[in-house]
Amino acid sequence: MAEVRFEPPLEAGLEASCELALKVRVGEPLEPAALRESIQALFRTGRFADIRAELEQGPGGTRLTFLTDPAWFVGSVQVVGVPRPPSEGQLASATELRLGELFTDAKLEHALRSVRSMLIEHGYRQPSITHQVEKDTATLQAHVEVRVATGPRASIGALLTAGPDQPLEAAQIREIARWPRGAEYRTDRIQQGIGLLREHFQRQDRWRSEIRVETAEYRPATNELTLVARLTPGPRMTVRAEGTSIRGARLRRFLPIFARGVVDDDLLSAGQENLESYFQSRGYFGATVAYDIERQAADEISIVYRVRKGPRQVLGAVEIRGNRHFSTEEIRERVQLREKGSGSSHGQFSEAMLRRDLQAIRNLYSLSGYQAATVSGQAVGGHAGRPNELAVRIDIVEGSPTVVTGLVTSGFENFPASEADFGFASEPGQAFSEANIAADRQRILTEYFNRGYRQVSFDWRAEEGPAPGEVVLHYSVDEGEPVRTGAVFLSGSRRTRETVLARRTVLSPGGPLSQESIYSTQRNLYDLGVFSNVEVAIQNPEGMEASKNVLIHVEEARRWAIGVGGGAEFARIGRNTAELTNPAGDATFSPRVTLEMTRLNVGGRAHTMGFRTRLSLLQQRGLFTYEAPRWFDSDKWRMTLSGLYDTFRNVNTFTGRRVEGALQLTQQLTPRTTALYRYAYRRTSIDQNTLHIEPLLVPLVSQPVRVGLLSGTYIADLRDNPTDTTKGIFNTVNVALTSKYWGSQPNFARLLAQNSTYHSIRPGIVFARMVQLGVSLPWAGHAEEGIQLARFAGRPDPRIPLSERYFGGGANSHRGFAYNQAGPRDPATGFPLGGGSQFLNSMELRFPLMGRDISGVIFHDAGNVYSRPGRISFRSAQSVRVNDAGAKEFDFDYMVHAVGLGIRYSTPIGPVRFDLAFSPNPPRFVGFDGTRDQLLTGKGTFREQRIPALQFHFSLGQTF
Amino acid sequence: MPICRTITRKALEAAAACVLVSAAPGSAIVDRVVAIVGTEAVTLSEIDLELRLEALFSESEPADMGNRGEDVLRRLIDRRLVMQDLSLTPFLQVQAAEVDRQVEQLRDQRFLGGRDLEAALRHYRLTLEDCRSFLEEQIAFERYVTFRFKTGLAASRQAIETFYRDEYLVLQRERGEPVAPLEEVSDLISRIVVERRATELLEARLLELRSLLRIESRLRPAKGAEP
Repeated sequence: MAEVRFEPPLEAGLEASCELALKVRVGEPLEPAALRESIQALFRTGRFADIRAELEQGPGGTRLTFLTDPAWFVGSVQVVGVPRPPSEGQLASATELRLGELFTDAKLEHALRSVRSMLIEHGYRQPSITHQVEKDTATLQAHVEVRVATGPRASIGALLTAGPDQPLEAAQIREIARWPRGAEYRTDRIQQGIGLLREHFQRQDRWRSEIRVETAEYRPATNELTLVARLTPGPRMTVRAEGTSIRGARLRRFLPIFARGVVDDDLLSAGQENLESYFQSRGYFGATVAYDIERQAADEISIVYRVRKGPRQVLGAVEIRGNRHFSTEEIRERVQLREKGSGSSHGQFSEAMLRRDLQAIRNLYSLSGYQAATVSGQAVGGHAGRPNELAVRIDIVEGSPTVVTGLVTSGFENFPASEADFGFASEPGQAFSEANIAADRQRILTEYFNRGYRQVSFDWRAEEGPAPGEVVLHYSVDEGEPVRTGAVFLSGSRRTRETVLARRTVLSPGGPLSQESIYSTQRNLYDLGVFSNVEVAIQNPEGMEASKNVLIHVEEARRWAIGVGGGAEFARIGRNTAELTNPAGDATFSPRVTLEMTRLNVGGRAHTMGFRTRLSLLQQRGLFTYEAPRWFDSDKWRMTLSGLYDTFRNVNTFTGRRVEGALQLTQQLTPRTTALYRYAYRRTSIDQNTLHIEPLLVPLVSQPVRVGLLSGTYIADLRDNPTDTTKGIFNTVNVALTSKYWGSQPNFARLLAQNSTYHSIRPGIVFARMVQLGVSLPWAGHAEEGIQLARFAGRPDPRIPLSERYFGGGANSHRGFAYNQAGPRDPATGFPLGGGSQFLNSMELRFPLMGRDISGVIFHDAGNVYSRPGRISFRSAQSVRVNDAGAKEFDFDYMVHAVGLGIRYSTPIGPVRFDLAFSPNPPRFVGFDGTRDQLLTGKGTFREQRIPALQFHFSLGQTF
Repeated sequence: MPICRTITRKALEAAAACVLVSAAPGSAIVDRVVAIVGTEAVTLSEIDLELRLEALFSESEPADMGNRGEDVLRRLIDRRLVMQDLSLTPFLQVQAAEVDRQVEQLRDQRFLGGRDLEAALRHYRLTLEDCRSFLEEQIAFERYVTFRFKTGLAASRQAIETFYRDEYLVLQRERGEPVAPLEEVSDLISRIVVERRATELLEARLLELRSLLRIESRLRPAKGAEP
């Protein structure tokens, strides 16, 4: 032959595969077998829908041309125009057209038939289905859109009954099943009706009813479906238990025949096992349960569970002997037997449990190379001299392990690797274990898959070594041909920028077709948060070609999300602003409403814009945020811009207003450590009419203040579960600096550090501790108010504005105080003033209380908010003196303690908690009985008060 | 690269034997896809080859494609399905020595017109390799049927008696041949019953495989082309 060509010419990516497939060669005679094999091999690539070989004799010689029709592959599939149910997603799934698979007319016909069947099933008896297929010649994808005009859903028409001796008439069936004439026919309605009929029979103790409902006739004129119901109620069935006092509803809880509404042998056996387990857990270790089915009458049967409890016993001890390779704790982890006291007053034992545990221990040894290990065990009565107390003795004879003395690998050709590269578990010197071999196999196959060797296979054999107890392992690999990534085609994105998508795609054309890269790409795209569905598929998965295109199809999520929420706080908060009595706060209920609006994928960049408002008695807030992940084109950086307007009264002392703008960069240093870099500029003003402090200080303190804050935060979160931690460490350090150089009026530095550790003492019991230290160090300006005030008690530095001071106390702080009630107080009114430092040490013992969801806590909180950093004290007694006027002056710079109990109830979003704290040394202070006007005019009375010793807190999430 | 000035005789004969679809003047379609079985193609030349092999072993002249093409294609599709199913059990693969033995047996035979094997192959335009491939597939097919369907299959006494009464006796009487007692023919009847049952199972399996895979026949060309 003079020439071999293709018509149309081959794409660049296909040439290599086709070159390999051809058995015919230029310059050689044409053999029919070679031509046949060439056509078959070309077809196997999956790239051609049809191939014809044309021979042409020309002046240059004989020319062989392969005339080809390209194969098409499934792209996007949409079904539109259908009101639920069924959903468009369900219909699209029903087509069975999967992304990347071969697209044929036969498959399209099958898809349309499936859509029609599903619509008919759901009551759309006259749907009009049209379709459009758009073929993209660049990607060879066929995008299918199926348009459905359903028409009205059929309604339920006549109802007929079939079969002899039907127990209910048609009208009764309609009423029970809630199938009135004219109601829409829907499969869920029919299924619910069947369920109601079944329940009807169950109320008559008929647990084996069979109910079949079919559609018989469709009347197009009235769009009605005639139903035919065939009911077989089954015999009346009663269930009782003998040998126990368990009856009625209590007995039903053990028997799944009632929960499932079906009686069969499997469920009857399950009930038998449930009863046995129950009695065994109550100490009747030898309890056995058997069931019989007795026919009482033609239409009545009785199921009897016969319980033989046997003597009540206690499992006193489980002894394990003979183990050297595994510690006793490691073996106990695999044992279900439990001695008394470990969660059960009788312990847990049964012969079956003992057999299972012995087998579990044998498996443990066998998988670790101790094939010859023997494990035996028995239960012996009379433990510790008590006749009803058992002890279980488990004896282990380990024997010698079988050891791998050599590992021979073969077949690792294109991906040369030594044992060291792979890190095989079955290295020379290790115990011979099939579990290790399975792990090695997994590792090898994963490495090859990730390098595009999708046909790789692995085999192994073991050869006896030179000495007894030795084996030489042989690993052989058949690599197969590697597959490369061809082109990467993106589809489905309407608004998201291609550059954003391209950056998240790990796959690269020409590189190995790696499964890991496919998963990573899918994960990266989901992490953008703008797609409701991301599908990554290989085009032409069944074809045999050297490189394959990868398809990425995305569905963008709705960009707008609106959320409305509510909540409430119930704590000592405070009352109206005119009254100055009770500065420690009254128990108040504060409802809360939140509204959130989020816009995703702003500008097609996967940025998010949000607006959140919160309205409650304590706070009215509006927050605007703009978030840009992948700042600096890196997964590790995120930029957040925010604007805030806030009026707050969460400190009883004043009502304030804050307007703030902030820019924050978040850097993910490692998966567990994060750094935040932030600049915030805010203007805070305090309504002087709400200030409950010494009148002389009001003009000073009520000045609006501008604060420009540069801060950095380091967070190391090594907890196992942030919402309900059982072990780990959590550290944060925040350093902030305000200065006139970046727009701040006050100048101070602030440090806030926290260290928390969590220790699991026993399963379910956690000891948690936290220490928190905060200090503010101002500079420049005057350290005193400059007016004559009481000097005994430490006073907060006036250079730190009231709104920037530390306030402490409450459910997430020192529980000996109500919310924001800790620290220095105004000498005239007794309201909290905040401080320049804080110290808190908390310890909790968390333990299960009832079941899996209710737990308890014993806690101790110690600390306070202190007037200035130099005033932090561990002294537990509050200092007091009497001034020249005979009035008491109290010092607040001392350590307040609180002990308490709490209850936690687990929810999917974290535990709901209630804490009750008692403080033996709550602070005393001088407060004022009267109104602000009376204070100003020198009327009213001063009265010594005390923070209540008992505080209650109700909140969500753990304290720390 | 030297230009080949002649088309080989075999290629010409192949072109003459195959269906010709309208092509450019001076050109001919020498082979094409006529059926799809899963991801594999069956070509027109395979049908032609099968017709000639069929003729070799039945000592007749090759049948016309128009008359027998559909039947042969169906057989080829079934064989392809079986081979794909068989590929899942590598221990059943046929060894070269087994095929050699079959070829040696053929060499002792005489074919149409008293020809020996080589002459017969020339007459039917076949190569030894064509013959070997065919024999290999036959052996594999038999092995597949035996392993999958005949293993453990036994004819019950009742089935043997029923066959004896309803078929053997009737057939012998129709032919006017003597009737042997049941004990004498029960082994033979048992083999026949097992064979029949295996065939039923094979057909059921083929139906199942056909429903699972893409099977498409294109033996009849598109409208407007020559048959």
